[in-house]
Amino acid sequence: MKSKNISITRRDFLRGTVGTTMGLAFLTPSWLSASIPGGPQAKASGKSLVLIVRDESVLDSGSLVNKQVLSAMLEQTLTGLTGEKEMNRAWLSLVSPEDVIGLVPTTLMNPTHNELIEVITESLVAAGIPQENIRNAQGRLVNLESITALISLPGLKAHWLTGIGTVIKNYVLYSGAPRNYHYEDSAKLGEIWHLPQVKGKTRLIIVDALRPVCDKGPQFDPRYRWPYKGLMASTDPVALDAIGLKIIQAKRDKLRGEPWPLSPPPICIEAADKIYKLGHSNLDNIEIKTIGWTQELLI
Amino acid sequence: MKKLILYQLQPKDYMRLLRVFMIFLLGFLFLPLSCAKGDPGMLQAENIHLPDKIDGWEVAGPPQRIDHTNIFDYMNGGGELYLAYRFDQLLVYRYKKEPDNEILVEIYQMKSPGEAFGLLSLDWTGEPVILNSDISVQAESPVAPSFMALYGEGLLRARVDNLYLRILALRESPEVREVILSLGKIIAGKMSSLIFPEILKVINPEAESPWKIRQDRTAYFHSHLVLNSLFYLSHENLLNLSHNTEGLFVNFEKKNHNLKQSARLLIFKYPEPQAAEAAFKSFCQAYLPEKAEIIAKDSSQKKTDTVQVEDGWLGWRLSDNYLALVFECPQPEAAQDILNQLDLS
Repeated sequence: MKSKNISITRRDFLRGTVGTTMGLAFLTPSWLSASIPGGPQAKASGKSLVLIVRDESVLDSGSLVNKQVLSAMLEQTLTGLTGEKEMNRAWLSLVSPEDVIGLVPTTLMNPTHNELIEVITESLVAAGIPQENIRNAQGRLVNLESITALISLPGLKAHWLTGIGTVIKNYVLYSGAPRNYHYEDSAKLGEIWHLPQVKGKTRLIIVDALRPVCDKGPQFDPRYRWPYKGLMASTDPVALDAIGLKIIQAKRDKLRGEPWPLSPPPICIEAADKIYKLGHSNLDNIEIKTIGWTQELLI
Repeated sequence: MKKLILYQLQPKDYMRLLRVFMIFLLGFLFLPLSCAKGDPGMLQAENIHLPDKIDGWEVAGPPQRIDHTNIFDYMNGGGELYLAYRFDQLLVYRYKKEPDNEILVEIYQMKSPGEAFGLLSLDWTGEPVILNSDISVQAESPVAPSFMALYGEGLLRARVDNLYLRILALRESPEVREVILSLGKIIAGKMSSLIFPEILKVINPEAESPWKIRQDRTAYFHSHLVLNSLFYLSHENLLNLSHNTEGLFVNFEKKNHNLKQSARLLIFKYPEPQAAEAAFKSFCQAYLPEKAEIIAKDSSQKKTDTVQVEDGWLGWRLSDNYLALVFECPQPEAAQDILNQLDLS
């Protein structure tokens, strides 16, 4: 719902008043108010951890994925994030064999690599999750009621309507009306995470940053995809998008040799923090840990 | 028997028969045009005949036909871009040869050549290629490049009259590049001219001005969604943009020794002067609320001025059915200098 007469403009970004203006501009419906934690103290205290794992050999010269290397990267990601010593225990600290697990990959523009979905599925099965309890949960027609745990697997990419189209946007089809989240309403993408059938189910987010896309499309242009050769993971969707945005912005500036800001600016990240209380967007509240290849890390 | 009947026909009967035959023939010749979608005189995507096979690549069935009713099923939110321009339909062909590769041919049929120009203008980078050497630019524009097609890493983007093309290979190689260009040339064989939207003519660059146009950043559009992807003003449609308005985004640069300064010019053409004035009022209320009243009072007499905002000086000019706004100017004189290069009458 939108309050009339108040618009977020370029000047809000220049003045640093986007959060305030958004708070005034967007009226929160009652179902959502009840779902959003009461105050800032209710948000996870302390810093959010974002882990970046990279391996130069995960892609060959033809950009084909080396599954063995990817599997090792996944293990580093899970153990690094959970603090467990090996992958099975790491998975079992996030999900249980009783869970019905929905994997949520990206399908368009910069699709999640099939190899990543495969190694995740194989490792979940190895950890004792029954194969029949693991399903693809991307799309409008998914029965979310039966799913108890979501693992979001978006591809890192910019987006022409929302600035960035990675983590927070990855559940847009659950809304049943993705067009309602275009235009200025992209700020409201965070409300989808509060839908009763979605809320609280996300156990882990792993961003496929093997070959991100730094221009916003809307359609794929191979000139803006580059071999970052990384996986990024966190349990905080907002922190992950904030770091993804930083990487994309740095790559854009490097490509042009001058500032090349994403346009429109991705207001969904700040709104997900300030209005929907889904996590931290301020970089001061995010701890970044990196493992592996460090060339052109862009953070 | 037939012979007998023919022998009985009189000369006036032959004339009548000839007339009927001519009417039938003309109707037959022009039937495909009158039945085709879109405006007369525009190229129709279905009249482009692509080969079933090209250098071992084979087309996978008839083209997929996309229009405004199913464009979101085909490309999700990307469909907003084509609907933001005046879009008729899209035909999609897929060529296969290798198991893990595909050449995707998308022919977007737009309502006018300006729309195809607008889509290409969103990114002027890439390697310029000539797809039809018989077509020469009627007049170079000092405002935008005169490229007909741009290629890069397996993607060809081109404008062919009112058609906008995207030909994309999943995996690029020198051989694949040749196939892509060959397909582009087949389509471009139908091209009649390389023209620019009229609105580009309102800019008359002054040779002595230190502010120079960066041609490769000029873009043509109608919608605030596209404007925001070029230069963000607001998530809302402050300037009342629609298919009935034309917009031009132009970057100016001033180089002084090692210092480079930039300014952004937006020009809008509305259907009538009242619409331009209403858009300016709406813009002032949302973007310059603290100054909106003063500007509203002044603008009845004063049609051009500058104000200082957070990112520099903002200048405007209202003239007839045009509104021009210039942003990020380092001094008010820079805004005036750029606005003085416009002929909005």
